Formats: sequence, structure tokens, C-alpha cells
Amino acid sequence: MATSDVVPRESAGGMSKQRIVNDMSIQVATVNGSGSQSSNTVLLRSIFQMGVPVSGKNMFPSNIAGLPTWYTIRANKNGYIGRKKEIDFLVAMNPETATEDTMSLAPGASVLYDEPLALHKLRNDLIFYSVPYDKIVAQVCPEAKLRKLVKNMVYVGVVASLLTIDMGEVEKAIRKQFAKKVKAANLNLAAAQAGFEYAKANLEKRGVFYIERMDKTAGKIIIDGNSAAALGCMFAGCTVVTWYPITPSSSLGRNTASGPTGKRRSRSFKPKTNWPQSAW
Amino acid sequence: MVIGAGWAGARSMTATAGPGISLMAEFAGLAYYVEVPGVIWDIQRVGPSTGLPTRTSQGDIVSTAFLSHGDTKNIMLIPCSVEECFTMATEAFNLAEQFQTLVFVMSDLDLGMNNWMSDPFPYPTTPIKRGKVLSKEDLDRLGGFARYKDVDGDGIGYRTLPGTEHPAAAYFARGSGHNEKAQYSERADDFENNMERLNRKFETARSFVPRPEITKGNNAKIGIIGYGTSHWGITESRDQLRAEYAIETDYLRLRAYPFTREVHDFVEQHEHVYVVEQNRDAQMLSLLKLDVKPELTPRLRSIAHITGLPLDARSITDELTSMEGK
Amino acid sequence: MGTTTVEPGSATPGPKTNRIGLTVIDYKGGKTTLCAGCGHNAISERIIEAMFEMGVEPEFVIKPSGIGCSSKTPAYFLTRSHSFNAVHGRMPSVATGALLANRKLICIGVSGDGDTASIGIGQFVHLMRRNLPIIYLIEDHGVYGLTKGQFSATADLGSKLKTGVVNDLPPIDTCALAIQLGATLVGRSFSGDKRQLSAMLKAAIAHKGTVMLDVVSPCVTFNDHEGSTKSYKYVKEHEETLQDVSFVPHFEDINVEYDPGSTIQVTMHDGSRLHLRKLEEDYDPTNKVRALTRLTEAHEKGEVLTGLFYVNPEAPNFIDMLNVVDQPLATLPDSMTRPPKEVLEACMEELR
Repeated sequence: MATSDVVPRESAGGMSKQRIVNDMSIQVATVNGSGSQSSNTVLLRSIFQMGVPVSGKNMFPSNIAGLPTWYTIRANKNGYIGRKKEIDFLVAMNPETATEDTMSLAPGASVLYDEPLALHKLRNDLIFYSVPYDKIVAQVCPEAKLRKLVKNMVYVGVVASLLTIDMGEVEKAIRKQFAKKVKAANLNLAAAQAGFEYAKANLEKRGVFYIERMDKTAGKIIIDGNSAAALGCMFAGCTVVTWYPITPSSSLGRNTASGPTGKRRSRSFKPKTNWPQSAW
Repeated sequence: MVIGAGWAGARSMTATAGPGISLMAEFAGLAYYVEVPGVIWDIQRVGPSTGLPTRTSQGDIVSTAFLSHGDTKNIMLIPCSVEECFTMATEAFNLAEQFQTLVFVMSDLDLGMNNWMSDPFPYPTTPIKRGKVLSKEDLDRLGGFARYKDVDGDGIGYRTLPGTEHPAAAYFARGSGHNEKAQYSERADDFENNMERLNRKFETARSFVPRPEITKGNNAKIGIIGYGTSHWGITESRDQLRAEYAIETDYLRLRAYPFTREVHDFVEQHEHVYVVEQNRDAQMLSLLKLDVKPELTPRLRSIAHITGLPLDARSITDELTSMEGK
Repeated sequence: MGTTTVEPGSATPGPKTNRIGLTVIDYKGGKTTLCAGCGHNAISERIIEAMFEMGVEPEFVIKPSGIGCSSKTPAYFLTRSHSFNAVHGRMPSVATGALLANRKLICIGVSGDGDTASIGIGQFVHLMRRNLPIIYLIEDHGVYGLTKGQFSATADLGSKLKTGVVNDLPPIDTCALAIQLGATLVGRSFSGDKRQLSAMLKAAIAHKGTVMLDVVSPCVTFNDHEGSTKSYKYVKEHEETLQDVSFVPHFEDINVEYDPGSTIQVTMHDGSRLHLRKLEEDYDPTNKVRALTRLTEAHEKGEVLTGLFYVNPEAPNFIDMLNVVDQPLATLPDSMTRPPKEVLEACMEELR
């Protein structure tokens, strides 16, 4: 069957026999500066590691912290990784935008929300899942200061349960994300597992979307364009890089100095020169 | 700084976005006219002015193609994927040094700042080509040289680098009128010859810039031209058009400016050509209009998208079918 | 081995050669197209002599310039050196890029008061604070010459144009600004003062950081009249010279006698020596605070203060700070500029 983004859906509340596998969009609505980037990346990588073609797109504000940000993952077995107009699964972590986000969904979509937001009252043609994040986070994270950063990872576990994403891949992705900080990795893993356990015990799956293992990402890498460009310039024999920070190019200049993985390569290759910030 | 380093022989680059391109305009003209290599990455965002700094677009196409006052034309490379961001870097530097000019790599926020899947990047096997640079030994043999003389007929002169140990190596790089020997000149014929040679150089680039990627449908009468990250919406849209409307399309993905022979042929071969892009004023369509035979321009139709969100397939499908009267 | 200057019209058979075997002719440029009597022409001559006497290889000199009468002058000296006429006020960035690409180059960047002090002030600021090894020359006459005589930002308050227009904005003192920002050899001279300018230019060539020389260079066509504060007459009447400046290059094996009570000796990085014999006052040019104060006093007194204001011979320069390789970047082999395949494969592995 040709892939279509107009999906016939079961009405909310009914038991769903239909299965749409590896063809969906997930949008996470959070606040920028809240640690959501790590959890978003973990979710993306988990799906990727299961062999499903994915893309992850950030929509972030021109600000440093505190404003809404959305991250949209598209998973598609045919390799369609461009933006999809409709959102199939909304993870509502930001109280400020939760109502508007929910109201903009097409009928039949799913919403995972923080319990106090009570979004289920807004519509009766969506599938709602409610999770008490603060309670769950308090159980796994004794240090109150860190709870804010770890809260988002709980949603990863819940989504993994609802969409049948392999928790083994989630763990692998967490360990990669926090490769240099074992304590943080363990804490985040605990948060994800707590979310997963909660969902298993309390949430009844009612939607039609599933992620299942396939084999379309073997050997592939995940990288952003600016880092790829920086790498390209290094391998093109570039010897002078000058730059002035400006969104969205700043990481390109910066990455020519330190590489996309943040490490300066030495080996037998003599270190390059010249990364002054250009004064226009 | 890029221009100073390029003049002195280094492969140099910078990265910026729309507002930075505007600021660079005068220097871009200088590099064009003095003929100095450099690579500029434009990670396009929504403009004009400060615009939406954190949203994507393809809005700098026209301004960069003609960046600077006076008659200026710049080479642009257009990646659609992270892999092309990697591979086009080498192509950009090679072209910059071959043509002794700035090469603009037109990426965008969607490509630059988001995470994309890709096959691992191939190690570049293309040798690093430094272009026409005369060494001390060359000068010993030749006795001297004229910096802006079209020796080979391709419009590209020979240059020397500062620090070349030969009394005849030096020349005066200037943005003011000059003759073939780089001497100051206000003569009408010197200026005209120089400008015509720069045009010839740009025409030569047509044969060397990355060729477009063409994907054919089944007996398609309609053509789609797109570039950059629009590619991802277009490929999905083509499948929707086939599956839902039984519309076949051929698709040409532009990878560079100036346009190569294949682009002209593609427009000529299709009744309607939909130019899909992420800016308001159909900028690439405008460049195509300036370049193709006048009688072909009515075939060009615009699908322009300017929300700042990456272009999705359904929007393309809806607009194309509507324009086709379906 | 010593150096000698060629006296014009001398009867000496055969021209004198410097320590690398070149004559002063080898340092000349094309014929000037500037107005007869223009101060800039004298500066060009001093540059030719200084380069000759210091035994600099012309092929290793670059002459970037901005836009203006000042910036045309590189055509009138050192034809054997590459020139780059950049854009108005933004020569510093071009010079910086060139020196990054080839640290062996000796850079004399020629600018004017119009080029530097308005549109150029942004780039000037950062050039000074980086201490790039450049000789930055401002040929200063208080007006935009090439566009026919408008006041520039170095024009003094109350000075008058030929048309009667009076300047009502205070001037920018590029020397004070340079010192405050981090330039490490700063002075002012006068195009008519052959001895002082020569000595300062030679010290500039020996110095390994940013040299900022403001040279008052009267514009005979637009600003050499009664009412001007940058005219030949005005400068002669109001000039206060801090010291008598002389310079002994490192390769001259002469031990110059000097009286430490009246003369300060500054040893440059390459071993050359600057001798500063005091004239009216005790002036220590290594004291930044004193330099800035003295310049402010000069303004208040209406003096045209010339001399060596500030020097720091040992400050680290921009190229050293960046740890730029010795070889010109254009000469590096591919094996040094393109990492091997294993490096790419390792990156790919990390990104899987």
C-alpha cells in the first residue's frame, strides 16, 4: 500500500485492531533549556537503532532559556524523512503551549501529557495518556535540583512502552548521550525505566502506531549539516577559518576547530591554525 | 579575512547567514573583481533583516547570485543532505581556486541544525587542486606574466602569491579599473575587456559546477525543479502524485549555479515545470527565467513556501494538483 | 656590513647596495599621480629608503591599503611587492587574513584619516587589540582628499575648510586609541620630518607587533590654508617633539655611545636599538598611563605632539598567540592539510 499521510484512525476510546507500523510523526513540546535536547536525541536514536529511518527537527525560539520549543521526529519505513504536516503523537511537556498544541491536532491523534494539565477535557476525538511526571521523577531522583533536567527522560520511557520501542535501545542511546558522565547516564536511565514501568502498569494502549525493528539504518550515521560541513572543510584541506557567531551558522565555525564530537583530533596530523573571530 | 588569506594562497572560509551575507556584499564584489578565491557557507534562515533567526528558508538565492553592486555573478553550490554538506566542501574549494572567485555554499537552518541520517561520508579522492598559480620556477621560465590576461581562453588568468621569490612576481590587486597587467586603467576598452573576460569565466564554470540530479518518472509531461532541503518534500510528493492522482513527474534537483546544459534541456522537455522553493518571491524561478530561452519562460510555474517550517510533501502535492486543475 | 643611503645626484660610480645586494632602485615604485607637494609623496620616499636600509626582501613585503589618496600610494613604492587595494576602512581584515596565511610576510598597511577614523574605526579597534605584526600607517591630513576635501574624524575642533565651513566635532586621536587598545609601538610623525620619520619607520620594520604610526601629511589642495590645523605652517608652528629618535638595526655592529641621563635605549625583539634622546621633558615611552595623559595634555594645549609615544617590544603578537605554523599555508603538502582516511572512519564510527 502506498504510504499516505492521511490515516484512517480508530475513534478514541475503542480498542484498536489496526496497526500502523514505522510510519508516524512524534512531536515533543517542551521549554528550551530544560534538558529536553538529551531526551529528544535519545528517543530519535532509539528508533534509529531499531533500523527505522528517522529525522529529528527542532523548532526553537530566538532565546536562551524559558521559551517554548518543539522537537518533531518522523519515522518512516519508506525513508520519507521530510516534515509531515500532521502530528500523530504529541508529548505535551510545556504547560504554556499545551492547549494550543492539543487543539491543533487532527482527530485520532494521541496526546501524552503531564497529569496536572488535564488536557483530556479539551477534546473527545483524541487519545489521551496522562502521566504524573513529578511523582515519578521524585522517586528516582532524590536531588531536587536535578529533577528538572531528568523529568524529560521519563517521557522517553513512557513513549517506548506505548509505541513498543525496545528499552535496550533506549539504554544504549542514553549511554551514548551521556558517554562521559556515568552518574548522569544512570540517573537518566532510571528515569526512563521508571516511565516505562509506569506506562506498562497504568496506561492502556489505544492508538494505532507502533515502532518495530527493521533493517534500513545499518551502518548509517546521524549528524547535523553544520558538523558535516565542518568535517568536509577539514578534509578539503582548508587551513584558515574565520567566523562571527550568527544563528544558524555558529556551530559550523566552532566545529572546524573541535570536530562534531567535540574532540580535537591530534594523531600524526599536525594541528591546524587560525580560528580567529572575524571583526567586521 | 577570508579574502586576505585566499589572496595569500590559503584555502579559507567562513560561515554565516542572511544578514552576514548582506554585510559581505561590498567585499564579495571586490573578490569577484580582483579574483580572489574563498568559500562562504550561507546557512539560510528567514529574512529580510533579522527576520526569524531560528527558522529555515531558501531566501538568499537571488541576492547571493548577484551579491554586490555592479555586474557581479557568483558561483553557488546547493547541498540537499548532510552528505552533500561534506562532499560539496571539497568541490567548493576546488572551484574557488580554479575560478579564482568566491563560492557560496547555500545550506539552510533545517539542514544545518537538525539531525539527519546518512550513509557514512566517502573519503575525498579528488586531489586538492590549487588552480593557476605561478611559482618562482614558472616565472624564471616565462620571464614575467600579466595577471588578468586570458591566456587559455577560459577567462581565467594566472596569479602569483605574495612571498614568491622573483622580482616579477608582484602585482597590484585592486578593485578599481585595471588592464591585463593589473595596472591602474580608466580606459573604456580595458574595462570592457575585463568585464567580458569575467563573464567568460562564469560561462566556463557551467561545465565544472556540480551537475543536477535527474530522476525520471514514467512518460512524464510535468517536470519539477527543486533544490536543497526541498528535496525531501519533493520525493515524497512525487509518490503521492503518482499514487493518489496518477500524475507522473520528472524531477531535476539543482546542485549549483550557474545552470548547466541539463537544466535548459529539462525545461525544454516538459510542458509545465514546477519550481519548488522555500522563499516568497520564487527566487530560483527568477534566476531560471533570466537564463533559459525567452520562449520557454511561460512553462515555469512557482510553488513557493515561506512559513519558516521545513517544506512538507502534502503542501507540494496540493499546490501542484491545484495548478494542474485536478 | 653597513648600509648607506644613496644621495640623489651624487657622483659616486655605481649605486650602493644593502646587505642583501639590492640598490635603492629595487625598492622604488611607479610615478606618483598625487598632487605636487602632497605630504604622502614624502612618506613614500621614506618608506623606500627605510626598506632599503633595513635590507628587507621586497618579495616578502605586502602592501594592503584602504581607499583614498593614502591608499593609492603603494603603487609609488616597492613595485616588487604585492599590493592589495581593499575596501574603504576595511584593510585590517584583509591584512590579518594574509598574515595568517603566510606569517613570513612583512606587512605595511597604508591607510588615511578618512579611511581609518570613520568607517574604518571598527576594524581599527580590533586590529590594535590583537597586536597583529603589521605596520599600520595613517597618512593624516584631517580631510577626505580623494572626494575633494570634506572634514574627516581627525580634524580638530574649530578648524576651517577653504569654503569657510568650521568643524564642530572633536577629533579622534588614533594614537591614544591605539595605545589604549593594545598596539605595541605607537608614534606620530610629520611627512616633512625626514629624520624622525625614517627612524620610526625602521623601528617599525624591526618591531614584532602592531605599529601604529600617525603621520601628519598635509593636503596641499584642500587643507593647507590659514584655518587648517594640519597644514605645513600650522604643524611647524605648533609641533612639540618628545624626543630625538634614532635607530640602530641589529645587523649594524656599531656600539652607539649614549648618555643614559638624557637618552633612553629600547632594545627591540630582534636586537635592534631605539635611541630616544629627550628634548624638553622626561618621557618614558614604556609607560602607557603617561603616554595617554601626555596625549590628552597635548590636545588641551593645542600642540601637535610628535615622537615615539609608546613601545612594548616583547608583547606576544597575534600570530604567535594562535600558534600559526611557520610555513606559508599555501606550501603545506596535502598530507598536512587533509587528514588521512582513518581519521574520517573514526569520526564516522563515533556518529553511528
